[in-house]
Amino acid sequence: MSSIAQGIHIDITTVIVFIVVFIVFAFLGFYGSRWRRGDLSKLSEWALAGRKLGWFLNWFLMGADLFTAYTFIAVPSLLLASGPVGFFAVPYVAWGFAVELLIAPRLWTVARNRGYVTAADFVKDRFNSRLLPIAIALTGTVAELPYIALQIIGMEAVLIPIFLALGVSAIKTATDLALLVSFIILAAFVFTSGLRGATLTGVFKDLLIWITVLVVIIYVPLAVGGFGVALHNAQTLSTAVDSAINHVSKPILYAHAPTVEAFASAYLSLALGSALALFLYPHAVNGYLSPESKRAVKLSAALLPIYGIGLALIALFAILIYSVPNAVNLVVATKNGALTVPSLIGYTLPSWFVGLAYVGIFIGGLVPAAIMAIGVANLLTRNVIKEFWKDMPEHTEATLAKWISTAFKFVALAFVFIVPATYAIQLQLLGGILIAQTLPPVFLGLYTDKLEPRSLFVGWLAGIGSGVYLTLLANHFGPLKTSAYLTPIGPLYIAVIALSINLVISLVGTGIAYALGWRPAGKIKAEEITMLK
Amino acid sequence: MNFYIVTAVVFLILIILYALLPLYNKVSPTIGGLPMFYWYQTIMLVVTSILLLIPVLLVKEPDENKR
Repeated sequence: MSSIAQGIHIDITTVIVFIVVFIVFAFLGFYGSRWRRGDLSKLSEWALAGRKLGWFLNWFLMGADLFTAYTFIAVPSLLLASGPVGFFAVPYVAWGFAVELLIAPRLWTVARNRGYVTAADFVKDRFNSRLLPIAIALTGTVAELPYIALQIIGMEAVLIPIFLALGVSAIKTATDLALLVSFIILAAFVFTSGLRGATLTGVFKDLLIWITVLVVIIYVPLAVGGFGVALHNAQTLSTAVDSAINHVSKPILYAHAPTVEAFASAYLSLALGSALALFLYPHAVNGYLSPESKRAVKLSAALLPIYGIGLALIALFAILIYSVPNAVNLVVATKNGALTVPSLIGYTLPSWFVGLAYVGIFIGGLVPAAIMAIGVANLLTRNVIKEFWKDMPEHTEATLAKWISTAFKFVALAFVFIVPATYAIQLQLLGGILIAQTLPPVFLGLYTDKLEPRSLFVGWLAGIGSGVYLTLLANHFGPLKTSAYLTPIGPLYIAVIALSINLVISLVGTGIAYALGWRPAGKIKAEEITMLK
Repeated sequence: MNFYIVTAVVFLILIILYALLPLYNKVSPTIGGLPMFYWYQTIMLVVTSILLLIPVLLVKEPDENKR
């Protein structure tokens, strides 16, 4: 037994449970192709599950997008390393679903009326533009890469304690090998079953996660003391965490947020920027285009904040971990905040349950990665490649999308190496900065066609440019550790700053175009967005 | 009444509920040792779902159940 993970409840039972449950998962993934059988050589069948999901299944599918490594690994890791700012994910979830309710029913309706599969399909006809949909498709593709990379960091975070406890000396090699095998299995079932497989496995993984969350949040306070004890211990133990992760030897204050405006501006802009960005991601668009009726879209969105309670509880594991000093020690010894949740689970629950919880977290990274890769493949095939290959047959479109989704998963693996694992959340925030720049044509486009496409394109270009530049500047051109930029009104999430620049240019440009005699030339009538034919 | 107008109003209320940091950025009262900063925002998620259900359940659109 390795001295670093001394006393963690991981043994051969853990490993057997992990492997057996993973086999069940893989079976469900392949079985998805037979479930509600459709013609999987069509893109809408493969990528949107034939648009047949009821509200409850869609609720699970969208929830699967929510219960990802972002939730189990990145958010608790940020909360542990930086204190209350990490809780911004909670208002993000609350606001995010309000945004979904404002735009998803409209995009769903117009997509059903006109046979769209992506947001870029819609933008192309709405603004009668060839350039904009390509820009949107490429943004979606690039923005998903860091988000998938975050999932991989999450999967590593459960493999590391297992290999540590089993005394595997070549941790890095063992982890890479395990990831590779998992990705091959995943790629194989995504190829054969598309979004159906992802939905079925998503339900399965969420059941595992819900069980784990509820057991930990009830059992740990009863067994080792609740948040009172944890916060008390944190006053002394957090200094070691701070110095291991942040190289600062001060205690971290968790009990409340600093009462300064700088905190409020960072906290609220992170939440708002993330909420505006979430439903622009290709995988999220796929999610809300897949329900069977508009009612299902709406009900699912309205009930998703309930799912967010799970996210809030998991985030609180970052405080609860202080009631188990051994668990804190593992994070300190490995200097890896991503281990917060796996470590707390490993030191408190019986070994068989640790296996169950770990495989839940592992699949919790794998399934969203699959959903994201499907979203990207959709976009690249329809809105980039098809633009240059007009008469592509329908079955070729689906085959190409399947191959792209496979290749894309492995490209994302490469992203893992550029960000410290503790700050994995920055990967998702970087994706948010990029994808938020597609808001004007997509979200505003669902409400008005009075936006001039070239202005929208220049606004997008300026948004992406300023977003990337400010991110580099804020991190001193070094490793990604922050996504906020210090403005005169306090630090702001760069997505919000860049989006403001983008919006100003789009609107002013449109004003000028109007004055010069430009008039909207969209092909979509207003009632096609509001009323199902 | 228009579904999207009601939803926009609900969104505005939700923004205010979370933007009032001075209201909830406190340690006490605690619940099970958990400071108000955390439990307030978590409970607000339930409030969020209830508020979002208002437009969904009360403002019906004629094409809602079409498949």
